[in-house]
Amino acid sequence: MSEIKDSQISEKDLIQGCIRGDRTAQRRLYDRYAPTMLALCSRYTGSRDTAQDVLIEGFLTIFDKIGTYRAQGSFEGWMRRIFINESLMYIRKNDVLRYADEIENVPETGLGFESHGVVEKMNADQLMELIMEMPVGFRSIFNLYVIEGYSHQEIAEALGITEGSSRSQLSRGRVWLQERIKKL
Amino acid sequence: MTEKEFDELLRSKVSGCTREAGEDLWSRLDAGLARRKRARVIRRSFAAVAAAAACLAVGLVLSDRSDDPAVQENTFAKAEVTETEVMPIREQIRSVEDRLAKASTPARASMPAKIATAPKEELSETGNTQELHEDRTIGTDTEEIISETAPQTVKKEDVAEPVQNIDWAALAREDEKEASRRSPLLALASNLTSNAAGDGFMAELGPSHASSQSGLHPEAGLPVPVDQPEYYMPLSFGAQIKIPLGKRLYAGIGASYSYIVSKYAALSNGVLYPETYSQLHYVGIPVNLQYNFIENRSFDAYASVGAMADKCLNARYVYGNNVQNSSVEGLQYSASAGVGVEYWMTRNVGIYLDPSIVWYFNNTTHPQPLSIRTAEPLQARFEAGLRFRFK
Repeated sequence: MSEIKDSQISEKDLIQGCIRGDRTAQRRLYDRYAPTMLALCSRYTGSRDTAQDVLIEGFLTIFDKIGTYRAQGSFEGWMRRIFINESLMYIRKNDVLRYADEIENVPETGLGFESHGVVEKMNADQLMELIMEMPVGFRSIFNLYVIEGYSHQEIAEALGITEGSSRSQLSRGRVWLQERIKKL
Repeated sequence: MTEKEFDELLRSKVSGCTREAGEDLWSRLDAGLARRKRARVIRRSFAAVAAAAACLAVGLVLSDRSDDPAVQENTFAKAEVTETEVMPIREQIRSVEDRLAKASTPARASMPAKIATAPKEELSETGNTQELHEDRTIGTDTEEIISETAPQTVKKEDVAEPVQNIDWAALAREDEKEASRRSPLLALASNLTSNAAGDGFMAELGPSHASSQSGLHPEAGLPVPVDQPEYYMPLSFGAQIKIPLGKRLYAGIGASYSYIVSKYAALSNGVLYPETYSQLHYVGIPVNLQYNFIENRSFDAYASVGAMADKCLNARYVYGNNVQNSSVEGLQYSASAGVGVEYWMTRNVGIYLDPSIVWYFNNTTHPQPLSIRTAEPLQARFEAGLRFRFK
């Protein structure tokens, strides 16, 4: 590695380097974004090992497709979409059947939740662990809606389900999470 | 606490969360990048070879068509024969037709089918002097027969049999086909080689781990391997001429290029480089003998034995930000044996597949650089390509 600090290299230069296939630029991009993206993949896949596999596939896709990035939105946002897609592809390939079963076992109507203070006291890692423990169907929709801010229509299109199903599963996901928090 | 508040609280706490991505993850990603780069090189090489082969195939097919007697006849007719030249011949044909009309019906029936049934236009429009000459001769013979036997019936076998029983054109085609089998062949090929004794046949282009590290450890100043190397599948392509020696025996000689990559942790000047790549460029001359044990019109199956001498033109070592090139003395010798099949899509263009087993000999006088060939001398090779036959 050269003496230049990572923070001194602009994102634009990093992108140009990656487009050229410069391994040093690729490494710097990885160093800059891998921790955030690994956390993202962990939230979706629920497993650190799987998240690592997805992270590698995601970066390979990014280095392949980085020439198509048009700088019309934030680069981090563009990367996040790729990692979310990679995570969802993994889930679709591996958890489709389990996904359907789990939905039936949780009531749709929510419980009253007044423990605002409990959530306030929990740190990010504890919440991450809880989200990772969620059943995969709830987890995907919860992540897409609550954390990423996607609409139910976008989620329905992405997962190939109806909007009603997306709303229903989000509601059940919240209930599942609140019950787990109550027990802490 | 509303659902919205709950969501906001979670988002604010979780969205900035990170997880440590260790060095081992980067190593896996780095290996994946190298694998994809190699796959791209292979795809482009195959595309280049395929494009070259396609151009050669089109050229040969077009050349083959221009050699076709039918095409030549038409060309000859349109280019050489004028209406003035054709007129006397038409007169003669008309004369023969008139005489035949006067002769008995059985005599006409016994004529060679070509004259009896050919449309008038076909006879008059053909410009082939040779063919017309044959027609004229037949017509003259018929005329003599008519004059001798009319109004009696001419015996069919007296006239028609000798002409109808021998298909001279078919015989000529067979001769030509037989001769073309004896023509030299050009093969354009690409092959993938896998270590048969190590990990077995690799399903992907990724690295394999061999059990040994025999071979030259680089000279002073160059990185020295300190762990188990990963060997990537070698990429080779080349061309070969096959010369017929006998009815089913061919001898081949050609030129081949191979690109061999290995990766290992290495020490250079006391510094450990966990990822060192050695990239070897070999050029070789393969020779072989091939015996066709099945030889059909469009399909051949054969067994072959061969040998090859490879010269390493350049050994390149990449470690950290360093790149070092090194020359290599001596040759890498190998022997091979295998079977193969080829299918001739046209008379001159065929595709083939040659699976074989290769043994790479250890050059004790001039040890070759560490590679899959030195580490695992027994290799399985799958060669595929196009063959072109030259007349």
